[in-house]
Amino acid sequence: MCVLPKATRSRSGAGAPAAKRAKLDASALNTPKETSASSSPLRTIDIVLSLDARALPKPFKNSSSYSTPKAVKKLKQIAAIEKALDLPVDFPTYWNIEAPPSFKPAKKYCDVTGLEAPYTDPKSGLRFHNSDVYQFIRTLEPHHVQSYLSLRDAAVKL
Amino acid sequence: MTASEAFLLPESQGYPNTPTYAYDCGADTPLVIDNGSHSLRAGWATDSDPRLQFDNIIAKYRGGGKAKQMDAMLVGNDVHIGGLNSNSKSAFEAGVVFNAATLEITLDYVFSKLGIDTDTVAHPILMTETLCNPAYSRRLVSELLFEGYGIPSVVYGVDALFSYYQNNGSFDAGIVVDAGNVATHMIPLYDGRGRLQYAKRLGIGGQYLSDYMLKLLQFKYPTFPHRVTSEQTQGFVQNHTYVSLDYTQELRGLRDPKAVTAQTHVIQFPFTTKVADAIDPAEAALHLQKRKEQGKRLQEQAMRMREEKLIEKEANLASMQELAAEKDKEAGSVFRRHLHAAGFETEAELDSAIKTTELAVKRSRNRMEGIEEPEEKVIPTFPLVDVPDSELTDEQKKDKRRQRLMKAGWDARERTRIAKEEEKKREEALARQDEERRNADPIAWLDENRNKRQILLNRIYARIRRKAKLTDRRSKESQQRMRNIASLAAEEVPIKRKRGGNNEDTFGADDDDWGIYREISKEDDSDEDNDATELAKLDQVLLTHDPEFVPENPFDGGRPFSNTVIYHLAHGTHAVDLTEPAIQSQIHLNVERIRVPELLFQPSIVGLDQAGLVETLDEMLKRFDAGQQAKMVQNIFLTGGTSLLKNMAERIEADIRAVQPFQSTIRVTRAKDPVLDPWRGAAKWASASSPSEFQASGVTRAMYDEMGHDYLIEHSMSNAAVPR
Repeated sequence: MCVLPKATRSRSGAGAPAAKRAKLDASALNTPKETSASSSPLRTIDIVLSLDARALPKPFKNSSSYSTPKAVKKLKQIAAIEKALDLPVDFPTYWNIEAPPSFKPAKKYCDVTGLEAPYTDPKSGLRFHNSDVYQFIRTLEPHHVQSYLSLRDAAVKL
Repeated sequence: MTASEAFLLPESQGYPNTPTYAYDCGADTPLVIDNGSHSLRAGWATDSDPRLQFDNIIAKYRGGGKAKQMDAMLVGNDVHIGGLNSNSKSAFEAGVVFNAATLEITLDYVFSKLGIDTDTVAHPILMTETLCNPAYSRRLVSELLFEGYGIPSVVYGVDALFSYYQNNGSFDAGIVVDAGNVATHMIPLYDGRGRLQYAKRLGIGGQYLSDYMLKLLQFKYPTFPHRVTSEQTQGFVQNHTYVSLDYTQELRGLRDPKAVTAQTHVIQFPFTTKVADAIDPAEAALHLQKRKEQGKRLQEQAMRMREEKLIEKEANLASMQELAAEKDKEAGSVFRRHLHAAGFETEAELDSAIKTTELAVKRSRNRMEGIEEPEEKVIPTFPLVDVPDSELTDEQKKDKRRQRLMKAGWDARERTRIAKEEEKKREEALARQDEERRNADPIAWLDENRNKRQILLNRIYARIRRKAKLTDRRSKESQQRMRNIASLAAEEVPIKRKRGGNNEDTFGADDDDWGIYREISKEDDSDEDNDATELAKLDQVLLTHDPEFVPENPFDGGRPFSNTVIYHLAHGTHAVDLTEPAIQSQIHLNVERIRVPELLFQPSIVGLDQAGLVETLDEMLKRFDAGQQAKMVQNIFLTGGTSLLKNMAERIEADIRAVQPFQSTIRVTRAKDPVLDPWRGAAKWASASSPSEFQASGVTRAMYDEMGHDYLIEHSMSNAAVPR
């Protein structure tokens, strides 16, 4: 609900780039379901301004001598910092507790239907359930094939 | 046959407003903040439930203007209420706090909403962090808390362990499985504390599941007319999916269309049907009458105009006829002068003008009086063509040339017409013969047609095969083609082995030689279309006369689309009208209902190179001896929002049973409230009677200054402290 990446529907069905709306999402506001205070006759801009968190009283804050670091380090940089700490081998870190790769052979499922896939199309690399699905795969354009493959992280990466 | 279950797309329930509370707690009451990457819960340790609970996001609104008076900063649920979802920001990356500025805005909001009105936040703080939180991330939070708010002390703990504490008295032995929003953590417990060095994290959480659901639906319905939001797919995951107890078996069952119908949940999105506008009958009648009158008026007008024109033409004709009559009466010169005055060069011109006008007058008179005149075919004559040039004047010679051209054109048209008629006759004769043969010996006739069709089909299939093979460079066909091209391009003609044969290039002497170009062409020629029409014709014939004939079209899949497994899964097992708005706005969930939660158990489905939940648990258990394992599997504890998936506990129990020794006792339990129990557990732990572990584990301002900004005192709920 909170930080889900936004995806828009596209005709191709491929992972379309998220529609970036830097401005207020007016269309979302016009639908009553988005605004809990739908009964109020306020304009959307008024709603937004009335919710401004900056206007809340903050007597507890020490804003004179402290401010948060301006440069933000991404997780990758944080990993480098953690590595530099030279921790003992058996010390549990965010990175070494990752689940290991599986020892079992991965089961194969149809890329289109999700059913079991006994076959693989040697040309596109797509796995398929039966001849119906194969006929469908034959009609796919190369970039559609790639987007199907990307569903299981098998698309060609440039 | 039972129908699939149908559901209406639920209305978005909206988000509750976050109220502002009065600052009514006692001094030194611990403040408990469950700072999860999905939502934040905060409240006093003495409360039974967190006072604040909202999605852990912020969004900035830029209203424009130099003074930035129209800007606003929204936090938590206000982001949804203000409709700024698409603009939201989180302080977390994969569960780790990385952006202190975002967290600062959120914590300002938290303390403000809790009504704190003193000049520092004078309460010990208990905050949750992700499992094995990097020291740098802890430093960011500590710096903010101590420097920004002047708190007296802070304790960090792992939310999953607090949830366990809330639900279980002892920490003797067990496994905590925390299926969260961005990851699923597994923490073994032994000898009264979490064994974090054996803990594991699987990179799949609830957010991953709803994203995957969204992607699957985009592929399943590429032309879906609505924008499906991630909030909606999250609803689908929560309300319509379940963990399959035997995934393979259940998938195999879906080969049966009946099983597909039973498995399918149909989600109906709102749609509008086009209704023709209702028209008032009286008004419609009036409108019709108006139009009729208008039509009548127009007709009358046209009639009048035609009459006027006719009269004009008749007058014209009369004057011309007068002029023609003059020829006999007047002298030649006078007549010619009059002729020129009337705009004619020669007498012949006048004659032809009279003729055409007469014809036109006759025609329009006939039309006005409603007489149908028979279309008579005039065979044009070309009298001058056969007369030798020597007998003609210059004028006539010009005419002759013109006539000759006209005659050639006319002859050509006649020839094609006759050829066409003959062709038609021939076809009719053939059809008659065919009919006769059919009547004489229907079986032989049918066989003949079937044979013809088979030959045609073979040719079409052969062409399709060749086309397919030509796309593969290593195929025999492709290589033969390359050889042909190479030999054609070679300058020297390869010497024929024929003894005594001369080496002259005879290419082209035989018409078949040119066939080589046809052979090396990758593109197929127009034969394809011809064959297709021929096939359609034969199919039609066989459909009428052969009771056993089933048409099969090599140009598409062969079976109707509505009979394929793809169609069954996307639109149901009965053919429906896909142009209907109601049908277009339907989502069928069937395979997805089990495919999406299955990611937790088989991350390989999305190409994630990690073992599934149970395999990882099994690997983890192997670090302990058999006695310890037996104790631990009796106490597998599920928490986190994603553990609310149906059948989660049952599946884990079944799969663990499969890898544990025969007749092991296995017990999987779920937190009473997987979402709120971490906070409740933390509050319970923080308010336990003193001297409590909580008080002993607090990092004070002095320690923070002395020991480093990421200093952590280990306790039974905490992450491992970096050794110093």
